[in-house]
Amino acid sequence: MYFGHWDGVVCNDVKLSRERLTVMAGPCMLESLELGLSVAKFLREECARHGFQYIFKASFDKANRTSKDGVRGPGLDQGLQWLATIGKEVGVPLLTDVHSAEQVVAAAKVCDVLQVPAFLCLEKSLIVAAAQSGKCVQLKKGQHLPVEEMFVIGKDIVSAGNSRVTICERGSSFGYNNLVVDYRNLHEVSEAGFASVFDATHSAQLPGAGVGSSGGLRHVVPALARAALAVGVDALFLEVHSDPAQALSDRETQLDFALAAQILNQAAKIVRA
Amino acid sequence: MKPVEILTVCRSGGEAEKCRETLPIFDCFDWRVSADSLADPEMPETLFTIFPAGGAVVATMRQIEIASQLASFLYIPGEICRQGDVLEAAAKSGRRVYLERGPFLAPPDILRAIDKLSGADVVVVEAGSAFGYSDRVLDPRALALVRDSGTPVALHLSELLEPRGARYRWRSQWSIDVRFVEAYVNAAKAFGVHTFVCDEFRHPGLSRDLAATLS
Repeated sequence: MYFGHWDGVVCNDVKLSRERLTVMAGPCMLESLELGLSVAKFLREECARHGFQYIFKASFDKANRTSKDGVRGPGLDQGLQWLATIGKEVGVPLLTDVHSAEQVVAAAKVCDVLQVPAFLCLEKSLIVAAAQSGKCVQLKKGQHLPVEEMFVIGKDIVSAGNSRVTICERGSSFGYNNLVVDYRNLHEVSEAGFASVFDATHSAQLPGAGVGSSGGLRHVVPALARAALAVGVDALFLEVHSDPAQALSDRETQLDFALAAQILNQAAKIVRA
Repeated sequence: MKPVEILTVCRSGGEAEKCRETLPIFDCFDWRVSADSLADPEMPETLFTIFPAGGAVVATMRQIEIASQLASFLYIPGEICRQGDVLEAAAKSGRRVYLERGPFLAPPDILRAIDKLSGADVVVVEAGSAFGYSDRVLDPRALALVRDSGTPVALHLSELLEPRGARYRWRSQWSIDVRFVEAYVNAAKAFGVHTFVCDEFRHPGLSRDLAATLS
């Protein structure tokens, strides 16, 4: 697979390819070092079993909680320290969200993939900083935006000299407090020459449907993931927690280990078919 | 009856000059390339010498820090309406904050966003709800909810007509006819809205025409 001027190499251990699925997965929020380590070890082993490439993901700051009382996370300094420890101890590449140019500079020293959150994908200063980092930039498609908008942003990043861009579908607004997955976008992203990623857990969110928080439909995540793999994606993005019921964010959509294993088993059958 | 107020999003002093009858909101923070990526945003100070009552579109804490020393008010775009750090910084600036409701945000949740702006002088800007791609619909329930909360409401006519950004290539053309502005204005006035926002770049002359019609 060839993405414009990019050969798909994210880092030493990961090259995006339809021949070998990449899984970007981890807890929504890096609530503790212990959580990160346990999830990373579990997923590394599961992915290795199936021959998948694996990138650990976790956010150090949930900057856009529904309510002002929502827990944000460990913050930049502590979060990056924990991420660095996880990367080193478990031996996995790292992905995290960035929300400002300052965070880009700090996170680029530790992580292999910098993710631009969906709500911030139009924020120029963040896009420029991410482009200049030289790291792989993952753009989360804004829920209300047409995929064409993501191509404009992606091309801006490529024009700035960084061709390592992935576009991640995470569901489109469908009325209030609801999302629907438009699988056409996965096809369009590939046709446009970008690497395509599918976020199966956020696509099952019901934004703001809880009391001061988002709800979600965890039970549909496996079906959404299977459909995306059938259409064809270069990577699958999942949020996994050792105990989702106790999670500090996205309690209704994060996968426990059993469900994550089930999805990866199903993914293996589809990509081998 | 309150007088009508029209705000115009402008990318330059030249655009603002064309609609002097309205209040400019400058959307022209310049992102710059520098060796370490930490380029401080720039906003021409002369703009606020010429238009001292003007505001600034802000999306980051650093932009707020700079703009609050120059601009009379701050305008937060819809995509940023939930960002806690940005809202907190805007509240601390002491400036009036125009907070645009993101098209993806259920109307009751804008009240939660106002909470994050605790104590600030806030005007909610209703820019429509996402209706498929590159389209918005004006939901009267949103106007009613915010009105009933006691927070003033403004209406972003340019966003309603044609949202920012790349247009969905299959969007029907009839839906972006500027003649629909009249319908939007009349609907908003029924809810006591007397402040309207237009974008001079996307709809040149609209704010001028509106100023002439509504004054």
